[in-house]
Amino acid sequence: MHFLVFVDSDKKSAREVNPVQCQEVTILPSYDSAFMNPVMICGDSSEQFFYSEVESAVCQDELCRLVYLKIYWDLAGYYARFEIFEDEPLTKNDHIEFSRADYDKLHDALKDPNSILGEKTKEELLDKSKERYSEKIDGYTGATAKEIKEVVVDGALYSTFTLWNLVNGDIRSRLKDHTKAHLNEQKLDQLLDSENPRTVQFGLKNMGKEDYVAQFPKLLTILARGNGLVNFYLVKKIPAEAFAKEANQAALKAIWENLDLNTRSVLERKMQDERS
Amino acid sequence: MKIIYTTLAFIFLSLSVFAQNTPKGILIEAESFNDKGGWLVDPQFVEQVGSPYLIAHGLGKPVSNASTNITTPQKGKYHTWVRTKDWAPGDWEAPGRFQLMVNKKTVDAELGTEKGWAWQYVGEVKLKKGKNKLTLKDLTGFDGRCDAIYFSLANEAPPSEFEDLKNWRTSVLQLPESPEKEEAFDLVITGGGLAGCASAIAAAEQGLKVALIHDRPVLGGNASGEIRVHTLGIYGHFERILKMLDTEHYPNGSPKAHQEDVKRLNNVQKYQNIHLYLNWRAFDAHAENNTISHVDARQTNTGERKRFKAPLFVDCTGDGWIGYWAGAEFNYGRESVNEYGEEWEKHGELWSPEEPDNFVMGSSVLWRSQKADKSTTFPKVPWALEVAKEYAAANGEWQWEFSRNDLNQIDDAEHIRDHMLKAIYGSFYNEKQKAENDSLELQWVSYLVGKRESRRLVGDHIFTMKDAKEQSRFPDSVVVEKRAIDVHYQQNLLNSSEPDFLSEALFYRTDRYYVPYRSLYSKNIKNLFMAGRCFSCSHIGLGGPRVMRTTGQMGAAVGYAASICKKYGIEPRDVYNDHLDELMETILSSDELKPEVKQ
Repeated sequence: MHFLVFVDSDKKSAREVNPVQCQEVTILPSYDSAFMNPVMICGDSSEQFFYSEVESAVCQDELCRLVYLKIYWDLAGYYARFEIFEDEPLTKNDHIEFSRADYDKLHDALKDPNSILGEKTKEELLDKSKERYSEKIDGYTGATAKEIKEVVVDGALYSTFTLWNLVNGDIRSRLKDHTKAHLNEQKLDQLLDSENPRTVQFGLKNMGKEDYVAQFPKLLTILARGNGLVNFYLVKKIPAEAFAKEANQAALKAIWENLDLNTRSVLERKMQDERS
Repeated sequence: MKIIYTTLAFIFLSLSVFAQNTPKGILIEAESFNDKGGWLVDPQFVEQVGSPYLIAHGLGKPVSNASTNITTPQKGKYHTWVRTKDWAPGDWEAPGRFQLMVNKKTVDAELGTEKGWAWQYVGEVKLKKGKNKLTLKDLTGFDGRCDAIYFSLANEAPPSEFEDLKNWRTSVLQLPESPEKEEAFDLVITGGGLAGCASAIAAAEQGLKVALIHDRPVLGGNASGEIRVHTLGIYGHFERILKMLDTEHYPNGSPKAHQEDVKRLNNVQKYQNIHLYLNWRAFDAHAENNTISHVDARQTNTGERKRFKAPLFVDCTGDGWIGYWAGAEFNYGRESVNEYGEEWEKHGELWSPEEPDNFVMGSSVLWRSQKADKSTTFPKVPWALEVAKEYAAANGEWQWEFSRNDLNQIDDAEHIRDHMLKAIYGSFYNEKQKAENDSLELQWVSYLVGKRESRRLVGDHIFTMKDAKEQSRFPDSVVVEKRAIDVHYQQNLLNSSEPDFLSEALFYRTDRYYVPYRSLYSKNIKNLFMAGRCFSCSHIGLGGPRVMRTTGQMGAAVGYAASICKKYGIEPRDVYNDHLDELMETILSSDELKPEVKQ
């Protein structure tokens, strides 16, 4: 079988999925609920992920066509990548096959869990009103259509919209719940090592107070990556006793200059608390 | 309507009180200079700096001289200090440099070159007996600042520590403990933003004698031509009143704000029983048995003080100062998401944090540039590039906003303003280097911080996300809004390569929601109302109603409530308990009222 694979350039290349290593965890109904797609957890002791071979109808007015896609999510339920079946390339409204650039754009759209596509109903997609108030830019603009155009594949508005809602919809919380219920050291490690800050944060949110002390070296590697939101959350959760160890303090000092000021402000207060 | 102007030209006093251990000296407060030239009075940070000061806000072009005359009792060589600040210390020439001229002689020392607020010693200066002329000569146009000048025959610098300086000032200026003048009103409103103005109009229409105290020369606060944020939100029950005060929906930063200032002032001045105190900044509120007896305020230019007595007060200061001084309960910061159940799963920690913190919405400084009809220059600004870095821009809208967990939007407001000035000058400098921008010049940069969030006074009800989300209807729903809950975060949280002075907004959309009257009076200070961003709410609850038509609604509502308090001789809470029907009827008929006002 041949795959067209879309991954972030700095990620390891996708591996073929061996069905033997997969276990069904839930069902993902297609956007029109006509198809029930099983979602599986797959992988081995080094990496796990959620996977589904999705079949869905994409409809515009009365005309529908089917799309087939292999979707991968990470353990926090965030879309990771897709692959297409060799004989089922994605096509646009006029039956032209997606180009490489189109696939890239689709991947980028699916990757954004807060995309504007999540804020619109299908009916709102083709809003023809010329001038609309947009709070996003605090002013009047004819941008509703423009904002959407920026993120969807040209000529494949409904495909992008349908697929975005499929991979970023309710499924995420179900996958999250699955990981939470089966959380172990390996899964936690994988969450914390993720390059997706949202996934790291999901891992951090599911750690107990004692983990924050025990996992201090791992936390330092996260801090060193320098994501402001993750770091600010992380340091607020570190209990003051973690700073009692001199080795921890020294390790923190070594990366101090690279930390943002929000993160530092919390650490300073906590270290003060520990001293007093 | 009455405006109180004072003409006290300068403050000159000898140190007889300290005669034993301090020789005679002369203290001149810079803000009291007769002729301020191009220098501006900046009273925003009085509580931190100790006094208003003069600032040379010339957008990189030196402003014209400020000067004043003083009378000296004896001639001599006086040791001279100037209280000033290098506001961007570093490995470069200080940006805000200026010089002192005495009579026609320029004193050599360049001022504004020492880090932090300090008395910079300029050496010995000859003063004649009788009249001497002092001049401040700006060298840069980049926000040099002068708080005060002190001449002394003894070589003993004035104190620098905040409390010592405060006491020293009081002694030197021979200020009695209480203001010399006092006046009584039915209602004293502090803060002349939209909320304060609406409150004054509503109360005045009901016949109350109202004092409206505002620390700027123009009304409008964030909507004024000095800050230039357009007003958002709906009119609720107060369309008639708020249309006298609000703005069109022009882009933020537009000079059209000046026209709205004229409209607003004219409309407020129509009310004979609104006593308008422009350029007066409150500095204290006194409460006994949880009841405020008076607010003390100071004229920002002359230093004249006045006591405002009333049975009822409204805190429209934004920062909740009246409540703070009176001992009202208040909140600051972001609550834990669990405190009021304010989760928005989609945005998690960006929206509301698991652990509480001080990372509130930030303050903005708006600005704009324009193309001139000729080539223009802009000086190098190395001190600004430490903040702006490579970022280039030609104007700044609402996203130009700064907040950090370790900075308090009140205590650190000068730092926040200065950080934004560095961001602006640096980004403009970078923009100006582009070939196509040869004629680009700065047109306007505000020197006032437009705050979004600071202290939130606690009322009988704390308005939260839940009230908006569930569209809770209250028997005392006096404010109505449909605007999304709009909470900001700093862009660099998600991407560390973004500048630290830009924000992004999150909009939680909901249908109509209501703010109850019980969120508009203090829980523990019996005669204190609040309207504006210091009303009783959570951090997330503030997100929707913080815009100015909505805060205007709050103001109008408490103005009417105050009239009911006066009618029955009762306190704000009693209106809810015993006269709610009357309050709601008054409010619901507000738009039909045709009050007689002086035209």
